[in-house]
Amino acid sequence: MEDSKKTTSKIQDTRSNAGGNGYWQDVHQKALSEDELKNEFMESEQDRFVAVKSRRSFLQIMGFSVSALPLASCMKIPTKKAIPFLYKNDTIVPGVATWFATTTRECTSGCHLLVKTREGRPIKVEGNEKSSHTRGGTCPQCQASVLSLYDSYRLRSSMVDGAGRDWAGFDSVVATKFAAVKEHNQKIVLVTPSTNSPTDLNLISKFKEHFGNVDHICYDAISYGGLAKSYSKAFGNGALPNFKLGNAKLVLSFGADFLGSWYSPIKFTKDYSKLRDPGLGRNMLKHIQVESVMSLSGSNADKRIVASKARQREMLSQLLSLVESGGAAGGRSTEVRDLYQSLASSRGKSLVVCGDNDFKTQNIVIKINKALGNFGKTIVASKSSHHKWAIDSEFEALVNGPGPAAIIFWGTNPAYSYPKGSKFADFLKNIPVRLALTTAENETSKMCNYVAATNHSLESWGDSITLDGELAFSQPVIQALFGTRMAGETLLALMGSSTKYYDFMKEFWRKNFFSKQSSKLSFVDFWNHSLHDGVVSLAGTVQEVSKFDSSIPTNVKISKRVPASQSLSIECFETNVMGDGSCANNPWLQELPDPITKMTWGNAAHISPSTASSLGIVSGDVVKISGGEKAIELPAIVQPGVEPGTVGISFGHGRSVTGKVGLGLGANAFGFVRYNGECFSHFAEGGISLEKTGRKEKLAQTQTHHSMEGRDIVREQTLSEFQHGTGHKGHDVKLISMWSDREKKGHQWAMAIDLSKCTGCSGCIVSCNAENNVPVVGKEEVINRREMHWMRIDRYYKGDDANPEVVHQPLNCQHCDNAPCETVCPVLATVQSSDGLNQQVYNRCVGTRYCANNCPYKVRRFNWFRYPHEDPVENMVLNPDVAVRERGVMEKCSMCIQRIQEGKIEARKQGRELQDGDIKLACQQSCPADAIVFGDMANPKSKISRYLKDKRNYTVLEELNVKPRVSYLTKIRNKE
Amino acid sequence: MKRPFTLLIVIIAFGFIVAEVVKSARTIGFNEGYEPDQPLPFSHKIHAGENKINCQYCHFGADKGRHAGIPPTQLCLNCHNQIRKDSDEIQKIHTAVKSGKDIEWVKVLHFPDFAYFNHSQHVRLGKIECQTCHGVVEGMTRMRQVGKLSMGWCVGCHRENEIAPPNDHKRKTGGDCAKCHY
Repeated sequence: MEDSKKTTSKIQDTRSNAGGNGYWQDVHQKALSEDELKNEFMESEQDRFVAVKSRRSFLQIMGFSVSALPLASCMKIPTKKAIPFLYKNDTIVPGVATWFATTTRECTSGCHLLVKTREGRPIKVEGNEKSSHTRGGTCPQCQASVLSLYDSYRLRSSMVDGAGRDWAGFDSVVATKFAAVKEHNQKIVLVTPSTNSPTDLNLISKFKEHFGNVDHICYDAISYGGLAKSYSKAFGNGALPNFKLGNAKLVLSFGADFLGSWYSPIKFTKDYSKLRDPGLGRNMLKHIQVESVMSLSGSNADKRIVASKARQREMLSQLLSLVESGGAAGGRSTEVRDLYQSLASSRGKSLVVCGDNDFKTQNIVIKINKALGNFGKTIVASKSSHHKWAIDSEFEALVNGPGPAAIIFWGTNPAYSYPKGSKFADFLKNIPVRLALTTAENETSKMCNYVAATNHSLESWGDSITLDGELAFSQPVIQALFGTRMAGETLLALMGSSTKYYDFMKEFWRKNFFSKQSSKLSFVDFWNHSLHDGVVSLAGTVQEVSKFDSSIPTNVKISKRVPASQSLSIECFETNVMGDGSCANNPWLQELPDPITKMTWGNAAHISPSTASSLGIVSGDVVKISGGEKAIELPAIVQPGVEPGTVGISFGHGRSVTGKVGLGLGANAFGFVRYNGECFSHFAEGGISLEKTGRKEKLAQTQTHHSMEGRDIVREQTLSEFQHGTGHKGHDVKLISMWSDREKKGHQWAMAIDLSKCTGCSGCIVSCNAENNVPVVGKEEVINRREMHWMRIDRYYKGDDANPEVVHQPLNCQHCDNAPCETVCPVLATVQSSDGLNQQVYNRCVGTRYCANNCPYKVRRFNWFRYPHEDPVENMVLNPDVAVRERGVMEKCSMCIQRIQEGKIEARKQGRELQDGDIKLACQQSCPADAIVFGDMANPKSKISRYLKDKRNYTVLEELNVKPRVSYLTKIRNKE
Repeated sequence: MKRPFTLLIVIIAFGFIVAEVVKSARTIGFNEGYEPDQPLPFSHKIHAGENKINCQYCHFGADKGRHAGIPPTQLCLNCHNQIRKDSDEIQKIHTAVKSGKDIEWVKVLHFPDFAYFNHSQHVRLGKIECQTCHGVVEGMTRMRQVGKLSMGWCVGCHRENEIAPPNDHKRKTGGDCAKCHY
């Protein structure tokens, strides 16, 4: 409360763009020393327990505490200031949240968001349900973006040769340099990620016009160049695919982690989960995944085939000849024939996707989909979007060619992600004018002589166009915190223009988009409506192409198969947590367990169990992996389901220039990316060696036991079992209770999680962290099993460890009616409420931890330390409606009680009954798979009541008769 | 025992300390009657008492959300642009607004962070008079804390008037703690 009021006074007009600096210092009265700031995420020695060494010191401490009490009562209370606004801002009522629609650019999807601001501070993002693209779903990276906004490591001023400059000084120096380049008609190169913002693209074309000799080169750290190139060749320049998974009955993925990180994962997950409803019967989507490392998508597949990348290419080309010959081509393995049979039986309703960034392989995939008649149904080639359109050869040619006179890096960091770092450094060295537009210092900006500090996406105006041609807005939800400015404004300043980016964008919209609609008569009306909704659909933005060039080459090179023991290959992959590493300084993401390995704070070399045993490697052994000129050292993790000849390494770690959160964690996998003459291939074979170093490292895993020990914690059935009603257990235990049932009056809250829908993406965990002020504990404490996440996702393996089946199970406090934690608490700090919630009362808790010991689900979290809440900037992310817990206090999922209370108050204010769906929990709202349902089970019409009556419904450890309020729906696998 | 007298003194002293600790521990943090000096001699007696300005004219958040709020400085000028414009104290407000320098009021009511209180719930839904909790503010020249703002104080009122939740705190096994504590 205190904090929020102070902040209120300071952030007066969050939407204005006037530069404001330094005000955040007042968020906390305590002035922090430099050292304390430096120690932001590490525990200081004093912060540990006071070690009582002797009886004497115990008495000293005790004596002091006792005598301090009467003293405290005599003391005057400390004077606290209350500072009101000077001017009233219409959008801010203290204590009432204001929401703004925007889009972040943290992730591959570009999630459409609603940002919750309190007293002018963004504190939480939620999915925008008006968006037809992400439809209310969000990914972990977007959920964590509010914390990136308050990152103390962000740049606070622009720099010329490493020294801070104000904007006027910076502009005069840099503009002079660029003017000189223009005068001599020398080349300027502008490097950006493949941007899909129409305004930015317009700005870039204006920039090109102004300077004349400008090349705009797109460079994506994790490249989709193969896909972009083959669509350009097959359907004409600029064509890109839009996948419509929602129309499919079968999805066959060759190494594309489409539910986790590939292309547009949130859109895919929305479509996917809708079709994973076993109620659809035979129309339930079937998912076959062929892959070499265990990915999030692979873990959800109905059938998963383990195959090396080389074998995948071979399978694809065999599949193509089978599909084109109508199954006549003989001599194929049964594996490929089976795949063909499945595809052939769902022509026009299947979708083949491939994550291999290889031009010819992607050509094969296009031809397979074409031959199956999937184009126009489950895939559309269109020229409307600019999603992942970077052509790798352009950047490769740039680095290998003579350097231009000036280079600009806008939101991209090739010094980290370009495979040959030293070559890139040499290339950059010879360019006299090097400008980086970045929010925080990174590997590339360190090599640049001019660094322009840019706004975070939550502080910026902008727009984007989705795969479906929907336009989405980005708007600033807070005034720039650190005196930075929008990247586009720096480009405008270089052109000698003093136009604000906002005006530039508005003008562009007036000219280009206003005319494409007819519902709004005035531009202001159109602008305001679009801004309010965050998304707008316009006619004529989708330009589908059907002209197809069938001569695209498909003669993919297939390396000979050799036994795994003789030849290893490296598969670099993206995870949905760390992405390309640009969010590496975000502690929420670093501490988010990887959905598959459950590893936090760093990456590891994924090695299959059989290879590990033949090489004598166990999880935690540090191995040296060398390939070509690169060698990295990483701890190994023995990962079931990895192809024996493959070593998997995830991208996004091993940052050498970033804040102290992300620094020195894991190793950089980009060194193994290879340019194959056409694209950056994330797969390296030949000359790869793996050797033990003899060192060991502890892996910060949150789950180390992977078996259910024969108990049916997660229940699953096949589709045919489900349809025939066999193999089902339901609520089958005969229960005898010592206690009489509680009286149930009023609302009775309950939650259900559909395991058929949950993909395990872990977005809910970050959402919960943000909503409930869950602390970050750091790597060491995760190793000590002291992580604080209120929700965890358990991942179990079943079957053969060469290719196990995987299940994900989100587990939060189960809010038991007969809660075992309640009976053992000596101070009644945990009790059940009349509406069925298991409440944890922090100010009553004395920290005996009996409750955690007695909890059969192990969902209670103890504050072993006072976790750092000392950074005045970072504290702005805290939700003022939820108490920050002290050291020595137990905490756990509260079922977002603050949301329940707010929902009830709101309904009463509007003079109506609370309706089903009024209250959405943080985890439920963010879930892109809509797997979590929450509501009042006393209301027979509510969705939760339907879920509770579903025949798939069961509760975990039902035999204990603790009567959990959280129940699960049995996972159904679409197989015989 | 060689020195029974010393022992007696020690026991009495210890007993005294314990009694004192218990007594004082029960009053810590309540601060009833706290009435600090303020940077401006704003008088609720003049504004709310004599001139009968509605509480929610200034504390407009009271029926909207969690905080009643301290009015924005500029709001004072709605009247004081005309009334007693030239007084030294009013000039301070003019200066603050013109220079953009905040007026730092001293906080009178300290509601603990571990409890949640929503003004709108009480003012708008419960239709509770402001004075019920804040005392006769219209009679105060300087703002003073009237109630204890303790849990017993909250619950007492709820119990007495059987206001929802009526029985929560009567239950032996606790009650709906999380209605306020989260």
